Amino acid sequence: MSFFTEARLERYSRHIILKEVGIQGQERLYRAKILIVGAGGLGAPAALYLAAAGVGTLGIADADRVELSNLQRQIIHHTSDLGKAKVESAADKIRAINPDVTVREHHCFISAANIRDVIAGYDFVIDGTDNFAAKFLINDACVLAGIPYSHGGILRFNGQTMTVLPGKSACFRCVFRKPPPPGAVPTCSQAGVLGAIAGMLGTIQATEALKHIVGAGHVLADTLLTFEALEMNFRRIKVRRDPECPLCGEHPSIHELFDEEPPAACDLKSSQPLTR
Amino acid sequence: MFYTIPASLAAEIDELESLVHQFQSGRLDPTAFKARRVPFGVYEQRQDNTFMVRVRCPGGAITPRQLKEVAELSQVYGAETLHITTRQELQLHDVALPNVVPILRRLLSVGLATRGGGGNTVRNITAAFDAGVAKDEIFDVSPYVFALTSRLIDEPDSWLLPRKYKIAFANSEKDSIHAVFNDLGFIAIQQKGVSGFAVYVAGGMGTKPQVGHLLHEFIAEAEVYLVAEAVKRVFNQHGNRKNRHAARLRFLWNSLGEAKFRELYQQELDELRRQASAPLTLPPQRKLPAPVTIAAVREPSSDFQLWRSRFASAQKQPGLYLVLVPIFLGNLANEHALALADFLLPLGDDVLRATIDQNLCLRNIPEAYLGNVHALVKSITCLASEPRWFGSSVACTGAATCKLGICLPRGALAAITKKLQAASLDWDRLADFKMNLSGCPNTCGAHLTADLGFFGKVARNGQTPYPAYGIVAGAKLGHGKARLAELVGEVSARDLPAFVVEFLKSYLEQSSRFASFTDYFEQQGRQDLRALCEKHRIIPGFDDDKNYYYDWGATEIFSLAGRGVGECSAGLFDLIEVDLKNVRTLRTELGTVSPGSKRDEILDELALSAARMLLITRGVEAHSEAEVFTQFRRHFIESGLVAAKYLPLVEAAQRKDTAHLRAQSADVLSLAQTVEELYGKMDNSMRFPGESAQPPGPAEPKPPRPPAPFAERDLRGVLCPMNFVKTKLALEGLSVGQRLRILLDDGAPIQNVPRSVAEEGHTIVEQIKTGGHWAVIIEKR
Ligand code: HEM
Ligand code: SF4
Ligand SMILES: [Zn+2]
Repeated sequence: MSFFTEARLERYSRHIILKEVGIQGQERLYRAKILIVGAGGLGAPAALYLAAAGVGTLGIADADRVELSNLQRQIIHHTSDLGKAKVESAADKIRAINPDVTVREHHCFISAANIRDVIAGYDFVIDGTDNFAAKFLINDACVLAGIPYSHGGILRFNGQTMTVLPGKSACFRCVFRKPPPPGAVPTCSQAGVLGAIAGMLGTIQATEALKHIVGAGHVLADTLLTFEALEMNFRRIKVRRDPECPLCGEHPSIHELFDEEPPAACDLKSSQPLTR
Repeated sequence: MFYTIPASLAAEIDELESLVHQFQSGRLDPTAFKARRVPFGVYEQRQDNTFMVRVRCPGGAITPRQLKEVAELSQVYGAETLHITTRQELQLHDVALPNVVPILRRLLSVGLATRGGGGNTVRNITAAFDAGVAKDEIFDVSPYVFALTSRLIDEPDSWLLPRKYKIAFANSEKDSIHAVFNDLGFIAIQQKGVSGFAVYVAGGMGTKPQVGHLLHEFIAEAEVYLVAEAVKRVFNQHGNRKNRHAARLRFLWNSLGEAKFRELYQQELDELRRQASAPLTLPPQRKLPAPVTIAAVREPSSDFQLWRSRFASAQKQPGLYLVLVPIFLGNLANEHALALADFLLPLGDDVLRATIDQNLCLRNIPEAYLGNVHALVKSITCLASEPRWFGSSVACTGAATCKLGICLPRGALAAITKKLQAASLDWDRLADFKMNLSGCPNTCGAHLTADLGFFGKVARNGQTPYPAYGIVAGAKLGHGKARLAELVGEVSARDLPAFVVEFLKSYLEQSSRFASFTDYFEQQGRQDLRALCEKHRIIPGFDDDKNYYYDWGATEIFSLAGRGVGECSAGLFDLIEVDLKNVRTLRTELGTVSPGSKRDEILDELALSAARMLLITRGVEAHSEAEVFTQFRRHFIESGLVAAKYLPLVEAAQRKDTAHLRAQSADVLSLAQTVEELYGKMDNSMRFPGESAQPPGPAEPKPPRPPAPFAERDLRGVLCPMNFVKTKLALEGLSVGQRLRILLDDGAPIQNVPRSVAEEGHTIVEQIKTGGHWAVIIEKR
């Protein structure tokens, strides 16, 4: 039987009629495997849109459980999910939106010890984490494994994102060599975040993933997109691969994965120790 | 003109014209009409009321003047391309019924007939494309081909045979024309200094393919007609007219037995000799072309030299050349045909032959004009810059348009070619290597006569079916030593290109040790092929690499759903046999194993295999074990084919209720037995006894159909934007240049869909309002 049953043709019709997606693009989406690290502010909208879009396999990696303070922005979790593992809560919603999606739940903290296994086999990774140590680890692991990924970060009214095509475009370390010293950057719990900008940024990340899979347009490679929502200013900053990058430069010094000091983390949920 | 058309043909065309009128006005029913038009070489295509017209070209011969007429007719009334068939005919496609008779009349005016293009008639007589010019031929067989054609098409009983009658002439013992695979094959030989023919009878491809039997070691040239006529009479009097699947001459040979056949044949031959039937009147020797005065194009380039070494060869007539022009899948654009005809016109009448590889071969070309030919050929075919054998592959349309098709051989051929090109080895060293592909075990792609042949089949990885090819190799041609290619193994469609390249590469490395590919095959190649099959035997699971579950050129995951209705679906029987074997082994094992978990497993397996075994006959495919049982219930228990008492058992198996199966193990066994028995009683159309017969096939044989010129979708009643979505889906299945015809409602659909389609870069060829709706023809970008 063809993948395109009557119902699927109709479900995905608004995609299929796009010249840039079409039948083939939709089929590619079905064959794609995308991993979302962090089912939080960024991961939630990304997961919802990717599920609706018909991405065949969605991986969700998160070790946390749903807390009351999450619900202000992590829209994949509902009040009734309080206390549930985030991966489970997210997986339920994804399946409810679109039964075509196979969900893989990775209920664990990612660390240098396990990230290689977690990301293996995925075609694209979305970084929806909330701390620098994890962001660097995802960057290092994806670049070493050659998996394209979307970096994303939000704070207060600001967001930033870029897409890394390993070996082809600047990686996170080319731009930000190492995590800022502890205390230099405020965490979300101290600084706060407007919930809706998580939606703005997570949705951009989902768009990047979809574009990459279907091969449409240009992703934010070598481009750091930042926005500031109070005045609603968007900026594109050209970045470049750094020959001196310790990870992807000419003489790399990073060959093994390692965990950066866990410094500036988002400790909105300050009741939890910063174990990532 | 190469043959003489009987004087009666004009009147017969008039009669056909009146039949067309009767049919159009509803006074003649379609079946009766069909029975009359098919012997005229007029076949209906998949699309209702479009026809193809097959033009008789004995030995592939056609004059430039005639080619020009055919191409012009195609431009006016037909498709954009002419088709060269594997019987060396030219074929017009997409002809509307009212245009058929005008075409036949104009063909007649240039000495071409279509009578006998189809139906149970004397078909186009084939001959070696280099007959009359090959340096190594025994003698020129062309005059016999032309004379026999003229004679047989003038005899009324040639049109009312039990089945088709195919005749071929080889000009040397090499038998490049496959005479031994025809109903009657003549091979030119010399015996004690006298020229004549060895004669083979009752060969053929298709169901029960077989090499012909040697009817005469030697006959004198003058006896060609007597032999052909005597065989025709035996066929006519004794052939099976009831069952068209057992009607070809080879079935007659097999059912009568050799001795009886020979006896009947000898009687006819004696009778003809007694009547002193006149031998063939051979056409006068064709004069060599008069000196011509076209400007020679000089092309000293290395490009030209390479092309010349590949495609041009010196004839036995000094200074004249034979030039092979590969035509991709036999589809020759009208304008290319015209360009060829115009170029050839000043060079004489006898300058062109169609080949059974669906290519063209120019002949009698003065050496000085090879540059001109090269320039022309380059503009016609991109195969001109590839090794010669790349253009000689035949591949049927397969599942793209044929409902018996399992795989997409043309997609596979394209993938193989790409891989060969990428491998950049000296493929020219393979010279006249022959690789053919068919989409299923039927032999429309002639895989059984190739050095290396492939036929589409289904394989399974666990529950999941995937496209695969059976591999045959080592066909041998030639007087006294012909044999069909032999089955050596199978490979997934996905790995086929790699398989071919690995195999041919290894052959090239060893080829110096062997006199020919067939020698290699016998001494070493068979083992090499088997080892390669073994290497590619295991394929990744569906989740690891879905590519293996997509056929080449397919946009959908490989599936069997909807297949299997229709006769001769040999590939599907294979699949049933796999489960059958399983069922038998499990039943035996069950008898020997003692109670325990092993026995439980066997019971599970047995129930599953039994339930799955015949699902394919219903055109359904189960994706999970649970679905196997659901479908089995629906199609076998609810339909009454299998007794309802098995329902609880099947339900238990579906729940994986091992305890129940264990308790009722006798029932599991008898269910398996019931299914086996049912299979034993199944007929060739996959029907079981007591089933309400499907509508019987038309009384008149269904001819092999060419690929449909259009895909079609009826999108009336489908709202925007789903009509556009479905159009895109349909276009996805086509290759560039192919056409899709859609029917759309008036109003928003016709305003939106063509515009959106055009925005995606496809061409709207035609948009016509018929009745309350629109028919739109789209050509894929
Ligand atoms: C309904 C589906 C079928 C289609 C669309 C089909 C189509 C064709 C086509 C297009 C050709 C080549 C004609 C050319 O020169 O262009 C062909 C040849 C042939 N077909 Fe079929 N065919 C079908 C079914 C069958 C079946 C069921 C059999 C036998 C069991 C069969 C046996 C053959 C044979 C023996 C040839 C000649 C091959 C050779 O020796 O070159 N076909 N068919
Ligand atoms: S029946 Fe003939 S045309 Fe159809 S797939 Fe089989 S071999 Fe090809
Ligand atoms: Zn870098």
